[in-house]
Amino acid sequence: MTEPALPPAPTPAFLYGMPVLGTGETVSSIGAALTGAVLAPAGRRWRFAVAGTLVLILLWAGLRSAVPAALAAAGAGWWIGLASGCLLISGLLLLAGVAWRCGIGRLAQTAALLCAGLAALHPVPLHSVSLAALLAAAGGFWAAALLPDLAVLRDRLAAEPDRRWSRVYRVLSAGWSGSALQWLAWERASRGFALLGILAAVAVLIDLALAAAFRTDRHDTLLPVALLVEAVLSAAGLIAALTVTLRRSLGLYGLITGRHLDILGRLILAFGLAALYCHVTENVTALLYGDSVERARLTRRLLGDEAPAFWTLMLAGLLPTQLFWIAPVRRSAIVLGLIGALVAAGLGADHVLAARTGTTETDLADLGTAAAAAIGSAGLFVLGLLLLFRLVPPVSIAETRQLALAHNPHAALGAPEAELEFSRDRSSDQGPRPGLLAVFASEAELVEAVRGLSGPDAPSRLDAYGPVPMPEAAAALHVGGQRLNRFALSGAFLGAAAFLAARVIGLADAMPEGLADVAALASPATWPVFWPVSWPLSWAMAAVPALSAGALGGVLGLGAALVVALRATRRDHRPPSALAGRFVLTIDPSREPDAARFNPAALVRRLNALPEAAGRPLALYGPSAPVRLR
Amino acid sequence: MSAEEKGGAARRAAGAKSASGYFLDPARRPAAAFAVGVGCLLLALHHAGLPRLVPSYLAAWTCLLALPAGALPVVIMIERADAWRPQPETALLETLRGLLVLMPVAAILALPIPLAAGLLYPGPDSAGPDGPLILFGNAPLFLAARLGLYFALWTGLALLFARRGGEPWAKAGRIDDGRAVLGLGLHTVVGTLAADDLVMAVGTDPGLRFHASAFGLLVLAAWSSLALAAAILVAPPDVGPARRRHDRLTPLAVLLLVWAGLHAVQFLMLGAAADPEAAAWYRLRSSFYGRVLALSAAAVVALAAALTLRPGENRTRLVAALAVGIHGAELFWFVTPAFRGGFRLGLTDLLALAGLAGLAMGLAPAVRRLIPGLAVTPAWPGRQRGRGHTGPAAGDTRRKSVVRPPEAS
Repeated sequence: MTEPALPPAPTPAFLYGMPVLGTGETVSSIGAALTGAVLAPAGRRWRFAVAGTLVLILLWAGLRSAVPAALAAAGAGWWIGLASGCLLISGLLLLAGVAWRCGIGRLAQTAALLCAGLAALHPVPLHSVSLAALLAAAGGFWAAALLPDLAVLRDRLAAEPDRRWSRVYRVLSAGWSGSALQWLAWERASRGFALLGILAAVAVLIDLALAAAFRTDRHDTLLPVALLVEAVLSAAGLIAALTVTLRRSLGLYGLITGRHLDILGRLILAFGLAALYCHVTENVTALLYGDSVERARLTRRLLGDEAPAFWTLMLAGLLPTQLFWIAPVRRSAIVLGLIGALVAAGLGADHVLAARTGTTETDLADLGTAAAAAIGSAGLFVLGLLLLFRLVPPVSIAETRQLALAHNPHAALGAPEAELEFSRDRSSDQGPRPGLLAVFASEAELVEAVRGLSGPDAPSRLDAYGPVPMPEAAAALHVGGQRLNRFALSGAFLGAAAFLAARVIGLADAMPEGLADVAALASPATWPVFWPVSWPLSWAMAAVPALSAGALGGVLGLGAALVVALRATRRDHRPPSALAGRFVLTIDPSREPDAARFNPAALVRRLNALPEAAGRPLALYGPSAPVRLR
Repeated sequence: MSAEEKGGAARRAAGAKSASGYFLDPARRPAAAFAVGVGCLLLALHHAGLPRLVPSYLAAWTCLLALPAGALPVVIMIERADAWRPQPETALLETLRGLLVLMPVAAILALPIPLAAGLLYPGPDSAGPDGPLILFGNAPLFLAARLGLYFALWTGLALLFARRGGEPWAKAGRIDDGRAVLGLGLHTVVGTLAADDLVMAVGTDPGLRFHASAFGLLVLAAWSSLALAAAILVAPPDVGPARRRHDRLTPLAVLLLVWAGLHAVQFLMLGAAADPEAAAWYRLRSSFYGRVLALSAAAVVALAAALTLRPGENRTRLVAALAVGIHGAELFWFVTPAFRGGFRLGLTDLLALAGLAGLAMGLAPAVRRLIPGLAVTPAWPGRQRGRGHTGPAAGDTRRKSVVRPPEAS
């Protein structure tokens, strides 16, 4: 039994009286602004910026080999922290359904991908599968989120005389048509990638903490939590700095508003407090309950050879966050960007502490070299951003349009003014369409039309297309979701099982008694009795990389499932690109033997009889001339 | 109608009551519960003696403390989440606020703990590997002073966040982030110190104690998970069409995952450190029943995570009931093995738990009258109508209902 139709949910009030989107932003203006940012010729400032990053990259290439291994590992930890934090922020905002995430989501996803790639260029102090999972999750999340935006670029370029970029975007958009079923699959896949990304990020940070605990004498149990909190904090700082720069350089004041900056300031403040809690608790526990070794270590950290790194962490990474209690400071774009960059850089000091590299006088030169190399690698990061944002929109078009349709009353596109070239659409290489196309002002009106037309004896196939996800239309069309979750779970299970199998085989080769010794280690009866002896080889130490392997398998499974779902749902007759960005209902004849009963004139009469703004289309297009109804 | 039935009807008509009816009368229920609680504790004292009862009392008391102290951050988080979504999660939020009244009750029932400090915590001559400050930290006077400070702060926070809908500092459309962050921060600091003082420092043998800075956070996660699970069991189901109902299982599953993750991380980090005291601490708790508890907890967390794919009212309540059981046992697992050489739940533990529950039920109405700000009227219009309640409950006359009943809209 189907549920009765629900009244529309009340719109949540704007918090703090500041809008999360410019009041004049529409589906059309958002598409124009963001595709324009990609397709406009590169300016002089962009070229200067690229040249500047090339200088930094040369610096990095020159100093890379001179950095000591421990400090290079600290650099890898810093990039891993930034990648994990960006992935955690974008994933959690998506899973929580936070509507304003569109202003910063793409930035966070792109930064996560680039930071994970940069970490892979360093000698990483952890299991390689953990880093591979982080890289795959960041890439999968980024690519899946891009699909609808690539299709917008494809449609925008359809009418351009230069067909090369149009072909590129057609291939990259993987047959995206914007049907209700594709939107459903996309939403599920995005949530799946977000979840797997969070899993991979948490696993890699725990792996990082365990690696530090093995290599050094830092065994504080809050270290994984501190690394997690600092990852989010440093990522929030990085996103704040990038957001301020992007907003100013591209003039995206309507899409990235003061509200976004305010939220980022609050996020930095809250996570700054959490990071302070971790460090204060660690030190107070050592002071109150620690033995003489721990207290000596605390003294060394506060006053001894670890003091430069510790006080850099405090003065650059943590204490500046508390300035955001002052509202004017938090809401100033320049101050937010500067403090964000300072925090993102300053938190690298905790990775130096985790690498347990004292900064005695002889080490200060090494520390300077490592800092210069880190600045050089930041050039590589900025170059990646500059190049990627010449290819893809810096803000999600689909999610921003969704926000505009929810908040701005006149955001939707109407029917096209010019006559539609119906029978021949250059963008889709399709033949003449036998059925009808109905254009609506909103998803709700389209749903009413579907309800008015559908029925057991309806001699037509209905499909809905739109610029944003259409859950109500999918429900009205009785469109079933793809089984993406099962693919992801199967992939995760296979990934974890394959890793554990490889681990068992590797251990059996290394042990004198082979599999018998491995079975003894795997038994829960052995823990924690043989802790100091066999702990590094025990089942527990395989748990974290196995989690990463599961996330990696899940990402691969989900990616394959999404590609299959997109190919399966690709329709032969998607609406022409002139109707892109509109809510379109396609009405095609059913397959044999009911095709003969298809009567376009009768369908037009039925649609025309529906109440205005409750099912009657704005315009109808068929094999003959277009019909403008209202 | 038989003669007995006729007699019963006549007694009921005359106003006479049976013994069970006498004690179950709502007016006498608190006194009856208090008496049952005292009886259980006396029975436990007779059965096990004071040295064996004291650890059970402390563990049972941490179970009681978990309800208000765990509810506090969840209340703040749900209220913040409600600021972003069109429909507030009323029934669960009100139930959690109702648990906050137990904060002063837990404070009153904490009075025996400093008095029994000599049995629970190390004496001044047993420094062991601990730092210098621990030597006088657990002296009864200092412990009582710290407990007083913790409960003063916690009760203040409970009073602040028991107010509905962000009153009085916030109106519709303006929620104060700063107070929420400060409230969460203060609770985390107080909770960490309390968990370290009362639970981590337990045990008279310094060689069997371990110190981990993540322990406070771990206990706070367990408390919050226990409080949310208990509130899910008590709160009426969310009403409305399926698509508009709030998913209560996902927040509980997230809390359970955080809690399990903290346990796993602490275990792995201490293992990596090869800390002998930590190994001894875990060995003490890894008896047969301890391992059964660990495996059961892992199964419950996995079940909660799996059921988030198909949430439902009954599934949520099943997970909540299992979570309450696991967390209750865990709080005993933290405390009692330090005094018994291993973990197992016995009659003394159950009697202590029943005794604390009875005392809390007996004291709660009196606390509501003394501190009206903590007396939360459940804003469940359906339940109120069903029970024939027509006005605000005692102690709640000063506050407005923020959630409008359906007939008013």
